[in-house]
Amino acid sequence: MVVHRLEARVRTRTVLVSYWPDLDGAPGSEIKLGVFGDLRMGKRYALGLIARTTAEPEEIERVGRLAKHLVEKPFKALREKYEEIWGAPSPQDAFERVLARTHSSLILSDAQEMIDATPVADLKEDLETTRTWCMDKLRPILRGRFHAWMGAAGAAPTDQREQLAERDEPQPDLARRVAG
Amino acid sequence: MDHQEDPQCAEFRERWRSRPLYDGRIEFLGDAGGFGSSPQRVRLLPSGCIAYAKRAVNAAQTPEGAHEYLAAELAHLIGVPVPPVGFWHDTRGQHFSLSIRAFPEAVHWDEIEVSKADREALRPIFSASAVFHAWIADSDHAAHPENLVVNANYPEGQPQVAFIDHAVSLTAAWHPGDETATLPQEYYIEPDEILRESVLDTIRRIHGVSERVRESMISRVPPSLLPAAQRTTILECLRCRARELRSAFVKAPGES
Repeated sequence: MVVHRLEARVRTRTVLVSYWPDLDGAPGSEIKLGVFGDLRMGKRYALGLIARTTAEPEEIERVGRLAKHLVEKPFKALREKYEEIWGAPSPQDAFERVLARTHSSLILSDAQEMIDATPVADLKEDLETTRTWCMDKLRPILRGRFHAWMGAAGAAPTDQREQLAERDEPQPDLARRVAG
Repeated sequence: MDHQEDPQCAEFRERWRSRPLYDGRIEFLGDAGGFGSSPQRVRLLPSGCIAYAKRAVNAAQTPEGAHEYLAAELAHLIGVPVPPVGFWHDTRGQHFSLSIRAFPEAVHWDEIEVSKADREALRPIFSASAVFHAWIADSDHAAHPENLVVNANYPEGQPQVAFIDHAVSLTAAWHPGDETATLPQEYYIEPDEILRESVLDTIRRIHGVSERVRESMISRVPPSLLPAAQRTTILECLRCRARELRSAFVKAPGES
């Protein structure tokens, strides 16, 4: 007997957010702020953010007058961006537009993408289960990337906060993605 | 209205004055290696200056790189701040436009709060840029805060801004017979804040850019990146829209 196992495709991405007081500066001169991440499974879309609550005084000192608010309280500043993305008619399109921005010292790295599959049986119970599942799947990925990145240069442990949300959203039209 | 350009931008503009081709080494800083449709952050070596590389001709065969280059050159001629743009190709013959980062430290227009005094100081620049964007039929600076960057370190009272990304202009947005030039909607300045003096000055500067200068500028775009028919269209667009600017922006005395 052949047993068919139905699986859903799950795509998660994480993006590092840093601030470069000198865009031409050498790698390592950036100030690490936080990590954005998103998850797409069929029509379900989740967006997450984990970021430092504060930066060190010597980091803030290196930042230009107009951009200090971005670095002084990274989570607060990035949550504003998060809310803007999440409040858009299509959060995924809005996130793509943010990723395509250029010329700013606030740099979002190229997305690190992971695709895997999960048995549909795990998810079919009800909508709430699926929602919880999406955020429970994204949360440890975000945390893992954030802590690995922050700890990479031997940085001291840092206070951080998280924000996650999930919703039903049709697949975006990739052709409409904004490029620069 | 004339602005002090960032030294790196001024150096590349000078270097690309007669031949806008970058022949140095480039380091791609992203994982995608510049093969997607999005601009890629690159480091120009040995200077270390950051630039943004974008396919010079997009999938729909629109010569976006040529638009970017011509917009940067025309803007500079009339005193509107746009960072310099050049061209580069890799060993596989893939062509890119290179837009030099506007300032060493920059933020987007919607990431900061500008004081009332600085906003006032920007009125002449935004009045001029509105005319410029109407002239080149640009449609990516209306409701696009991400296409305006601000020097995060400008001295108080002397805001420094730069307009980026003019890929969607000229032949991407204008065709012979299209409607006339109009004030961009949802622009960085409200229509009633536009300064008549700045508008008149910019129109005067635009009319001062002769047909010969425009032709010479277009001739510096590598032939493979801008077909002959589109060169003609661009010249026609600039000529035609320059004529319409006065009626689009300047009301006759007594007109409400």
